[in-house]
Amino acid sequence: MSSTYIMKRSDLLKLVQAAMDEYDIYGPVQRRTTWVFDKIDDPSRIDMDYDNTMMSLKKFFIPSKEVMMRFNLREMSIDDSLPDVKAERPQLLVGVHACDIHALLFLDRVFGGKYVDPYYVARRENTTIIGLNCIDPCKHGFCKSVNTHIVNEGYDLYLTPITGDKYYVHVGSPKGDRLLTIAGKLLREATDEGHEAFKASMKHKHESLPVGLHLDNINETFDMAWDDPIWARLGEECMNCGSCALVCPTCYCYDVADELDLSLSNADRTRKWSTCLYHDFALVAGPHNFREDPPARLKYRFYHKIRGALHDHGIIACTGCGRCIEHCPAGISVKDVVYELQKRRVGVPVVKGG
Amino acid sequence: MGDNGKPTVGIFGFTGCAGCQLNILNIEDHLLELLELVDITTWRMAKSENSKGPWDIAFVEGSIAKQEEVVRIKAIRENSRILVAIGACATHGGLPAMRNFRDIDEMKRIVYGEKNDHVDVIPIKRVADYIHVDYELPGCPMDKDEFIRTVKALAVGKTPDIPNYSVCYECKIRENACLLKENKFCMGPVTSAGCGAICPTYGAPCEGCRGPVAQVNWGAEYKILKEMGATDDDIKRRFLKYCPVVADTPEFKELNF
Repeated sequence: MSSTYIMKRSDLLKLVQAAMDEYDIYGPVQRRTTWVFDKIDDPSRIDMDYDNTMMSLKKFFIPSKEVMMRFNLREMSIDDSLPDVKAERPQLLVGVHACDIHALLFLDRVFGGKYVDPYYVARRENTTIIGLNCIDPCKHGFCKSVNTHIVNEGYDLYLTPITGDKYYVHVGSPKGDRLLTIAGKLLREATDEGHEAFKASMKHKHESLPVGLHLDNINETFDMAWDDPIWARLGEECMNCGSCALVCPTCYCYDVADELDLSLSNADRTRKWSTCLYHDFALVAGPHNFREDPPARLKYRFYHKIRGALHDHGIIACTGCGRCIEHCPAGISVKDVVYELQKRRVGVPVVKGG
Repeated sequence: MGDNGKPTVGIFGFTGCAGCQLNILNIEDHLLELLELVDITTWRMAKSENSKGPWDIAFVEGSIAKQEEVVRIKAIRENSRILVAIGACATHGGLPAMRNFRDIDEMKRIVYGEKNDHVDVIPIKRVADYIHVDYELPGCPMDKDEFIRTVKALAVGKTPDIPNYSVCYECKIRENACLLKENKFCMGPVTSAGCGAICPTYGAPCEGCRGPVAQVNWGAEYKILKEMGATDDDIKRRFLKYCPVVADTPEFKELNF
C-alpha cells in the first residue's frame, strides 16, 4: 500500500472540518503582526501560508501555567480531584513546520528521557500532528543552517505543497492512518506525476533555503568564547525581558510554587514557565545568586542551548526557527552571535545571510 | 494578633487618589473570606470605628507629600509588625510626584494663591524613603489579586511572591504581538510584571506603572525608543511618569538626559 497521497490544498479545510468531532483542533491564525496556534472552530481561519507563530507548540505540552498537584495542608492529604491529563480530548495540530517538529523531538529527550514527565508524555501521546513542509524560507528562520529543515519522524501526516494547489501527503504513523480514514476520498494515492511534483518542490526548497551558518566545531568555539567581550556587549543591549526564552520552542525551564486558598487549607502546586534571564532564576537560600549579573544570564542561555544541550542530549537546543530573533525587543540575533563567534574562533567557512 | 487569634490589619491612605484602597473594597467576591483570615481593625475608608494600633500588618497607600505625613507614617511604622506599601504612589512616588519636577513655590502659588505660608508641602517621596518597608505591591492601581496573595502569604508567614521580571513575560504568554514592533513606545521590557500585561493586551503600550524590573537596563530601552523616533523628552516622560523617584537612582542618572 502506498503511503503517499495527493490532496487539494482547499480540501485540507474539509479534512479539518471532518476531524472536528474527534479532536480539539489548533492551527496557525494571524494576530496583528504575528501568528498564533489558535483553537479552530472555523477551518477557514487557518492560514497555511503563515510565516511563523510567536509562540511555539510547547504551550500544548508544557502549558505556561499548570496545576500539578492539589493538597490539603490541615489534613496533610493529597486531593485527587485534579482531572487526569490522559483524559483530555485528543488534540490535532495543523500546519506544523519542520523546525517545530524538531523542537518537539528535542523536548521528548528532556521530558521523556531519563526522567519521565507524565504530563508532557500524556499530552504527546494524545496529540496528532499534521506537518507542513516549508518550501520557501521564512523571514527570520535559519533551519537549513542547523539542519532542521528536513524531518523524518515526529509527524503523523506531512504535507508538501506541490504545483496545482495540491499537497503531497506523507503518512508517518498509525495516528496518520486514522486521519486518512477520516479524510476518505479527499486523498488519493500519489502517482508518478505526484512523485515528480514532490521532487520539484524539494528541489525548489533546497535551492531557496539559505545556509548562513555552520556548526562545525561549535563545541570548541563555545569553550573558547567564555571570556569573549561579546557577552558584555550583548549585556548592554539585553534587558533580560525573557522574550527569547518564552518564544523559544525548546526552552523548557519552569518554576514551581504552592498557593493556598483563602481558607489556608487547600493548596495548588503549580508550575509556570520561567527563564534563566530572570534575576531570581538562580537565586537560592542565603540569599546567594549563581548569576547575579544580567550579562552572565544572557551568556548562560547561549551556553545552555548550544554547549549544554550538546553535552546532555547530543544535539543543540536551537531549531533555527528564528522566533527569538523576531521577538527580541533589542534586536539581538542568536544567528549573528553564533556566526560571529564561529568566524572568529574556528574560522569555519560561512556565508553571510540566510 | 487580635482577641480572635487573627492577625490585625490597618489600612492607611496618604497622598494619592485612594484608588488602591478602593481596589481592596473591589475584592467584593472574596472580601468576607478575607475577613475570616484577618481582622481589619483600622480602615478609615470603610469603617466608622477604628483602632489606634498596634497592627500585625499595615498596608499603606499614597506618597508622602506633607511634613504631617512624615510624622504619621513613622508612627504607623512603630506600631506595625509588617508594613506593606501598596500602589505606585507609595512604592515609586506615583503621579503626584511629578510635582517634584516643577518649582515648588510656583506650584504653591498656582494652587493656593499668594498667601500660602501655612500650607504644608514638601517634595514628594515614596514611603520607603522615610521608613523601612517590608514589601511593596506596585502598580496603578495595586492589583487586587496580588493583594489577596500577599495577605495569604503573610498570614502563614511566607514571603509574598511579587514579580520582579518584565511585563514581556505576561505579554508573550498571552501571545500579544509586540507593540514595540508596531513602533509604539512600550515600557514592557523594563517594567515589572504582575498586571497580566493588561494594557498591551488591549493594544495600549505599557506605561510602566509597576516600576522598573530588577536590575533595570534603562540604556537599552532608551536606545530602542530613540531608534523608533522618540525624543529625549518623550522618553523621560515615559520613564518617570509613574516612578518619578527613579530620577534619583544612579542607573537613571547614567542616562544623562
